Amino acid sequence: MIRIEGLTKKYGALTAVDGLSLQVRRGEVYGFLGPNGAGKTTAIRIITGLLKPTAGTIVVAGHDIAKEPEAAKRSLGYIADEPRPYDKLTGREFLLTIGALYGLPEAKRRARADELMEFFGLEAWADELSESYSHGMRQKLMIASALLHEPEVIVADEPLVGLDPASARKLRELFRSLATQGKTVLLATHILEIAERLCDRVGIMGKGRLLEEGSVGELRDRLKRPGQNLEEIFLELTGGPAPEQPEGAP
Amino acid sequence: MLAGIPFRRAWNAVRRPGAWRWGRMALLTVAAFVILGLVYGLLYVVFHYFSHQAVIGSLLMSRIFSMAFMTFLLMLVYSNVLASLSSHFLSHDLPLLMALPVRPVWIFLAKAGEAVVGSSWMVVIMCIPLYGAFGRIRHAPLSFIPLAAIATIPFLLIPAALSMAATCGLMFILPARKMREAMLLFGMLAFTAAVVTFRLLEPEKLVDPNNEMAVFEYMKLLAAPSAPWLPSAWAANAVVAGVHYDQDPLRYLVNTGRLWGLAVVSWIVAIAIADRTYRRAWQQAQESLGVRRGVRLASRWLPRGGGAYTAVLLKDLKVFVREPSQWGQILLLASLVLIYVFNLSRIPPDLTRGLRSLLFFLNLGFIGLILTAVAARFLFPLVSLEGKSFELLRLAPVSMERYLWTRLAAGIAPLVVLGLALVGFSAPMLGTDRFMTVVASCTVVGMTVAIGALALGCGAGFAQFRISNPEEVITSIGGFVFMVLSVLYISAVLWLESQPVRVYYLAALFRRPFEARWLAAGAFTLAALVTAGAVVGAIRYGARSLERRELS
Repeated sequence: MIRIEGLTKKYGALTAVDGLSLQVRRGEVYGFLGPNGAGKTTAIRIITGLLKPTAGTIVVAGHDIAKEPEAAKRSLGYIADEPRPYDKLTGREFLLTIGALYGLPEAKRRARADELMEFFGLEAWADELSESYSHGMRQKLMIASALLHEPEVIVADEPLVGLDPASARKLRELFRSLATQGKTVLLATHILEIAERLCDRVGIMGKGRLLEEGSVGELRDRLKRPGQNLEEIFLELTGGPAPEQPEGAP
Repeated sequence: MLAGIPFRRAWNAVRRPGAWRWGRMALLTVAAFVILGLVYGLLYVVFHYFSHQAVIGSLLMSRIFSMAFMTFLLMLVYSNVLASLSSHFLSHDLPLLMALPVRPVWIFLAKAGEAVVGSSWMVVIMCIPLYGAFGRIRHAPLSFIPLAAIATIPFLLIPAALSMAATCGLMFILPARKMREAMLLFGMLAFTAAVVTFRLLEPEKLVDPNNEMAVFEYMKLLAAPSAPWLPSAWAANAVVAGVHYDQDPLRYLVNTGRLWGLAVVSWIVAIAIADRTYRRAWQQAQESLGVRRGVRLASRWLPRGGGAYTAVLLKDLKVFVREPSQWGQILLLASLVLIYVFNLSRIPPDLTRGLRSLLFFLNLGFIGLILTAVAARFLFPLVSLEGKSFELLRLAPVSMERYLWTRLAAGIAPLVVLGLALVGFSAPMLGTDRFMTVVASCTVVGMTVAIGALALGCGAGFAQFRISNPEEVITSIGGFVFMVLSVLYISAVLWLESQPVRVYYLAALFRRPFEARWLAAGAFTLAALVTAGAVVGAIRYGARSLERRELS
């Protein structure tokens, strides 16, 4: 459902993404991991069409994002790392506007907006301006807007940031259930426990490159690290500090 | 340490490289110098005229000073309240600062420095040509510069302290965001009223040598309050006395002493109030507003449903209705029309028919400039005002070109009404015939579409999604490019049309039949082609820019 080949993004002398190639299959939750500055967000924003690649191709649900951008966007739901709804619209108006942008019929967009607001516990705030929402509520509203048109592919960049534990759990279950329904989820996260529990496969990025890819079990086997959890594998691959801090460390 | 943060931020912003940034700064600096030079020249002419009036000359100059300082005082009070709301209550770094182990009054003072600079710089800049022209006319020595500065500084500090203290108190009555919106609307109303009143007073009579009595009538009509107990009067007296300090040192010292005394007392009061109320006032300002009446009204009145592009327009309408600071712009527009009609009514009735017709044609250029100003305010910033949420449009399966065409179709409707209304007002006032009225109406409709498209296209091409203030968007390089292109377009169309129009007027003047039909057809076709080229070119340019734009 998502096919990336030789994706490169350069900003002058800096190479943010360097020849990235990967595939995310239908019905799969794929975890996109990497330390800060590894190039995850840049890659994700290229997949969604917000940034132009320097080289490489991206195919979303069978549509090349460069050649058929509108068809690719219709199949895609994007949850950004920073919630940015229109401040002067109420939550319900915002969802209805987004529904209209994706061409949903009036009745369907109303039904979906009500359904998603109820799912995320926003119904009591539906007619309040989104400028008065808390960060978590804004994040839930953005997630609802990304799911409104029932996309085939969901690309989420740190979607759990700002969510309360109950909402975070609900969202994890939702992603799993969407994958069961045959949707594809590409999820960038720093929360490795969640990635380990939720994702079918993970890709670990470092300095713009894909360092390793596979299920956690496959990574253990390939790196010959039996018994290691994803956090330990991640830190070893990305050159982070050892997970156990010495005594007396701050 | 805290007070140094805004200066460090400003310094980092200046150091940031970028040819556009430097180009913009250079352009703005040149524009500022040109404007200052013009103001200086105008003031010099006025002061020069007054200095040659026996007996009343110096009185009039002092009067000008007290009026100017009264205006400055009102400006300072208004802008300090706004600056204090932004700096003390709405600034994004306040949650971080309030969490620091620092007494809130120190944060208040650090932010006060930022607010004083932000709200006073314009008055300081306006003082430069005022003092310069006055000093030159009165042959002031160099000591006038420090003496004037010593008198001006406390004049800036007094309204700052009092406005900030008052804002702290007002926070307990109104939420910060609502108060800021109310102040912006109030400011726009006050400015509109001032512009209209000033024009209706016909200030040109002040420098009319055949109308000496009008000076007295004018001053009487203005009825500027002398209010000797206000700091504006003290500052005016101090600056006027400072021009020749040795002639009347007591007058300078007494007034400057009053200013500094009041400044010190004002700041002591402001600090005492802030020490007791600032933290609670800031906490009060953080509380959300809940649903407002305007929200419900907008939801009820506006139509529902529609496709993607209708949804964008409905969203814009809702945002406009819910942003009271925007409404004032409509009043400002109404005042422009009022001033335009008033100017037309002041055209001497004894002009020949030919001259009136010529004026009517030239008037099309003036209407074009008004339409440019309106488009600059309402259409040019439209794309930028999407802000960071613009990425929602880029994510959606919508065509940027169609998005701009839709916005153009909706945006030019009020502009066409405005343009045709101006033609409708001016045609009977200038006694124009039917043919020219038809030509003018068609020209204005074409100009409106082209100017609207240029505004939207340039606004999209030079979109600035990080700026939320429309005024700041307009004063960008893109705004300048739009103005230049719009003036070039208006000039091209009027030049093309002036060819057959000239022949038509000459034929009418000498009572001959109009025979240059091919010339007219060619010129009007070319004007239509230029218009179509401007419209299509601008929208396509804007759409391509938006599609290519990297949203990081």
